Amino acid sequence: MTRSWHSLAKVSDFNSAKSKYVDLGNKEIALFFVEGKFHATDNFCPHRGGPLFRGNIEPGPNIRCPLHGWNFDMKSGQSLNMPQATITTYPVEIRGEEVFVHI
Amino acid sequence: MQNINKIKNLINSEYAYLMAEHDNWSLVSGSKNMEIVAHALRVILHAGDVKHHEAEWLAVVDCQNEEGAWGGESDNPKSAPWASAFLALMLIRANAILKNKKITASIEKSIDFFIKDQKADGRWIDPAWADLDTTSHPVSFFNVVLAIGEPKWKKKVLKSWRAGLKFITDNQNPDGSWVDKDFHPTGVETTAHLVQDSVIASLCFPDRKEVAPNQDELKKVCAKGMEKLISFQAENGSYDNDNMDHTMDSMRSLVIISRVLREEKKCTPVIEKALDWILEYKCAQGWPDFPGMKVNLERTCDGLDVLLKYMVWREKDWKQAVRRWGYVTGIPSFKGLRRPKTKQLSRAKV
Ligand code: FES
Repeated sequence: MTRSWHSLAKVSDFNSAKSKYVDLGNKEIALFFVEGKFHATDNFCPHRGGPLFRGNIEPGPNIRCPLHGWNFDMKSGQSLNMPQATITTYPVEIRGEEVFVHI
Repeated sequence: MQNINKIKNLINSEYAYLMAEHDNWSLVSGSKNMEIVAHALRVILHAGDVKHHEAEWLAVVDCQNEEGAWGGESDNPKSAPWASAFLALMLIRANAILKNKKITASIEKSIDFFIKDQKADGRWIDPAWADLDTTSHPVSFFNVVLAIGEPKWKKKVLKSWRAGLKFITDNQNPDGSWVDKDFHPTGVETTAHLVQDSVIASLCFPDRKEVAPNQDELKKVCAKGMEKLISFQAENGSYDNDNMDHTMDSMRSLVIISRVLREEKKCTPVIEKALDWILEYKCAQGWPDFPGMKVNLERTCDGLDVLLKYMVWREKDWKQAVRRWGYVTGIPSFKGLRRPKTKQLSRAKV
């Protein structure tokens, strides 16, 4: 499948929020804004489908699934407490006021 | 305080919805994730509808592996202790009604599995779950073995049950919480699980003083857990940042704790507030993981279980609530179930 850049949010969406959920129909993306940087990952936790955008953001930055605590590195997608589990992460670019994600 | 007739109607409409979703949770209609299967079976059990769904329980037996356990998925037999204990629990509780020899043999096999699988310090391990959480499930299964199982099974599990329970009580924090730093640093869900699934049962058995002579200590463990759970509640009634799963777990845990410790006065406002929040963020049919999200079948099963447990929590006899966990003899039922018409279920090869 060919990847392309998609505008998924406005920078200002993150004035008060640290995460955002985007439903693309065939894919659900979680966007995070941590310490001045944007990160994009799958929203779907590989354990039981927990919504990662509602998880706890922890130093790393990592995202901890809100259901049963699987923890993922936002950059690499590698789980830190479940070595065989990963999530897909996506490149992010800021163009003007918009947050573009390469999906 | 909720209107009981409204709750009854809600149970009926949600139960009809669950039955309409049959193919999405039933092993009879094909391979499934075993956790979703266990969640659905628990609703059927608490709705008092087991007899009409015997095929679902027999399909679980058909998936049991050589070791006596189950995989996380029905088509992957690699033993998954967390899901296995939940399924074994459903088998023993339903078999008090079904009295099916195949199910009896399956329960025996799973007892042997859990005794063999326990670690020297009393814990059980499942790589997908925190050890405390994993341990609470076989302990919960053995709670029910001790409460309603055959005498020879009780003898068999007692040592292992005590070791599992000790692992849990030894790991309670001084503030009453249980925390797993790798999986559950906030401790909300673990605390909710451990009291209701493990410790509280030891105060309910008729022969509790022989089975667990340290009754006073166990009572204190539960009381501290209860205080912590009360303190975890947010102003809006929810738990863990509007987390539906953890709010449902915490509320159900307080349902049984409050009745066993006779702490209804203290817990009633907390339980009612949690339920108000749970009902406020319910979808037209079913429940989501968080407000505003899509319906999730597992959460919908939890939501139905919440309502079925709330119904008995409101009854005079405290044992009715305990019966919803299987920690005393007797069959759980829900008076007023309008059983929806479902297709004739037969067993398929799973
Ligand atoms: S669903 Fe994410 S850890 Fe279980």
